[in-house]
Amino acid sequence: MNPVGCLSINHRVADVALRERIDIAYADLRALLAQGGEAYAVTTCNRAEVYWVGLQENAVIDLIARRSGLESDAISRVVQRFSGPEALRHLCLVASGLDSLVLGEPQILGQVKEAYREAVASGTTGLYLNKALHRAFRAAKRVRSETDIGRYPVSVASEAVELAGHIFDDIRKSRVLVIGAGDMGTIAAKRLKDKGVSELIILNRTYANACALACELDGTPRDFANLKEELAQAQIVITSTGSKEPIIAREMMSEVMKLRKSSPMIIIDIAVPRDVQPEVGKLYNCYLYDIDALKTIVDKHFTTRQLSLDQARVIIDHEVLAFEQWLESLTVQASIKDLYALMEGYARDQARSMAGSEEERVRMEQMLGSALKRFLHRPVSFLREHPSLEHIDYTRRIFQLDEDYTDRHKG
Amino acid sequence: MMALMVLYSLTGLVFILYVFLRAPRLALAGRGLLAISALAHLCVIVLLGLKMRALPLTSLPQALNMMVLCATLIFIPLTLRRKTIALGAFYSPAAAFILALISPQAGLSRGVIPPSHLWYPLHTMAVILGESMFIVATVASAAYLIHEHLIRKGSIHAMGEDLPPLTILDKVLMHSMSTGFVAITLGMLFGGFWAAASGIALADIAVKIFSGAMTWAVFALGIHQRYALGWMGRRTALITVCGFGITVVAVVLFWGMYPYTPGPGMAP
Repeated sequence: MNPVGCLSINHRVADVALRERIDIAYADLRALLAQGGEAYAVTTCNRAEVYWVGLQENAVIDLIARRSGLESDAISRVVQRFSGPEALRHLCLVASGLDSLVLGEPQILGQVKEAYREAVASGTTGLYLNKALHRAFRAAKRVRSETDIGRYPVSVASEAVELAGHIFDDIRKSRVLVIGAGDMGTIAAKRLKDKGVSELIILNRTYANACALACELDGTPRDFANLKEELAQAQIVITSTGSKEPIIAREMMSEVMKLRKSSPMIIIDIAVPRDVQPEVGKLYNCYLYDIDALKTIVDKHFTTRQLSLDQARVIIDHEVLAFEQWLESLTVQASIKDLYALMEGYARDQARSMAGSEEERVRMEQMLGSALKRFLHRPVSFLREHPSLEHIDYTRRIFQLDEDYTDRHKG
Repeated sequence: MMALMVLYSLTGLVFILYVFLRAPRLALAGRGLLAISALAHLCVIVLLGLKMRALPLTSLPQALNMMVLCATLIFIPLTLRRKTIALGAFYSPAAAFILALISPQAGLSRGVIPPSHLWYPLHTMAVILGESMFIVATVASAAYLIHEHLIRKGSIHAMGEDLPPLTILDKVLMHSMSTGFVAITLGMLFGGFWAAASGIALADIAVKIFSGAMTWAVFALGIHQRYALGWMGRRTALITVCGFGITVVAVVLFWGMYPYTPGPGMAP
C-alpha cells in the first residue's frame, strides 16, 4: 500500500496573505522525524507543501502552524490533503508545472529539485520519498519533452526575446535599447541580458533613473536627448515609458531608418498608452510589436498548453502506476522471483549466443542456469533471513531489477 | 532520372516534416537523404557522360541537370548548420520539380561541342555556377519572404520556429548573389568569346543569351540596390524571386529554341 501523504497550501486554496506567512524548516522536520519516517517540503511564492511517510497529518499541521504563528485550525481549514497514489500524482503535477499559476512554467521543477537537495542534505528523505521524487522528476522531464506544454513562451517578455531571435542571427551581438523604466520593459531587458546580450543602453527622461536601471542591468545610461542617435544604432528596442503621447513618431523613424540604411530592427512597445506610433511598423525592415500584439501571440500559446494537458496527464498516470508497481515489488518473495527471472534470462541469452546446435543450447542453458542458481543461493538466503526494506531495496538496485532504475543509469 | 526525382521528393518531405515536428531524427534523415541524392545525381551524370562519350551538357535539360547537382552540393553544407537546416525543405522539392521538368529529355544529346573551342568549358562552368547560385538565392529569398510574413503576423510557431533567422537568410542571399554575379559576368564574357571564335550567329543563341542576361540583371539590380539604397531583405528577396520566375517562364516558352550546340551536323 502506498504510504505517502501530502499537505498542500497553494494559490488555489490560500490567498497570498496566508501563503507568505507559511514557512517550513528542515530542522523542524528532522525533529518531527525523531521517531522515524520520512519528510520532504517545498516552499515557493505560490505554494507550501509537505510530503511524508510514517507521520501523522495533525503533527505536520501543528508544525506548520507553530512555525508560521498561526492557529492549527486556520491551516487545517485551507489545506489540501492527498494520500497514496494521489499524493504522488500531485507531486508530479507540481514538478511538471501543471499545478502552477502559469500552466507549464518551468521554474517550479528547479525549486522542487532544490528543496530535494536540501532534504537529502538534512537526511529527512528515505526509500519511499527518494523514489517518489525521482518519479516526479522523470514525469516532469517527460511532460516537457513529449508534450507542447513548455514549448512556447507564455510571458510577454519571453515572447519578445523569441521574436528577436527570429530576426537576428545572434542576439548576443545585438545592441539593445531600453527606453523608460517600466516593470515589463525591465523584465524583458533582464531576459535579454540572461540570453547573453552584452550591449544594453538605458534611456530615461530622468537621467538618475536611467543610471539606477543601468546599474541593475549592467547597462550603459544615456541622455534622453540622444534618442534618435541611439535608435539608429540599436537592433532591439524595448520601450515602456509612462508618456501620454507617443515618443517615437513615424517621421522620426523614417529618418532613423535612412540613417541605419534600412538594416532590420525590432521594437517592443510594452507601454500603455503606446510609445510608438503604429505606422512605424509599416516602415521597411522595422518590426513593431505593441502589448496587444504580444498578448495575442501569448494567448495562442496558452491555448496550446491547455490542449497538451491530457497528454501530460497520461504521462503522469504512467509514472504513478510505475511507482505503485515498484511498491508491490518491495517484498522478499517478489524480489527473489525477479532475481531468478533475471538470471534465467541471462542464461538463456548466453546459451543462445554461444551454442552451435539446438541440443547444445538446451544443455548450456541448463548448465548456466544451475550455476547461476548456486551463485544466488547465498544472497537469497540472506534476504530471507533479513527481510528489511533496506536490504530488499539494495538487492533490487544492485541487480537493477527495476526497469526505471536501469533506464536512469542508461540515461 | 525518375528515381532521382523520387529521392529528392522524399528528401524534401523529410525536411518539411522536420520543420513542423522538429524531431532531431528527421534532421539527420534529411541530411543523409540529401547526401545520398547528391551521390546518386553524380552517378547519373557520370553514366550519362559515359553513354554519350562527352560531357553531358549538350542540351538545356542536361545543363539544368548539372545546375541542380551543383546547387545540391552548395546546400549540403547549409543543411549541416543548425540554423540553416530548414532550407532543405525549400530546396529539395524545387530540385525534384526541376528534375521532373527535364527528365523526359535529359538523356537526349543535341550534338557535341568540338574540343577545339577552349572558351566553351570555361563559359559552361562559370554559367552553371552562376545559375546554381541563382537557385540558391531564390530558395533563400522564398524562405525569407515566408519567414518575414510569419514574423509580421506573429505566427512564428506555426512553422517558422526552425526557419533560419532573417539576417542569416539575407546573408545567404547576398553571398549567393555576389558569387553568382561574378560567375555569370565571367560566363557571359567567355560565352561571347566562344561565339565569336565559333562564328555563331547571335540569333541562334538568343534565348540562351536572354536567360543569362536575365540572371545577370537580377543579380546586378539586387547588389546595386542593396549597397546604394540599403535594400536589405524583403525587396532584394522579391526581386530575386520575380527574376527567377521570369527566367523560368522564358525558358519554358522557348524550350525548343534553345540550342546548345549550333552549327552543321547538330542532332535535332
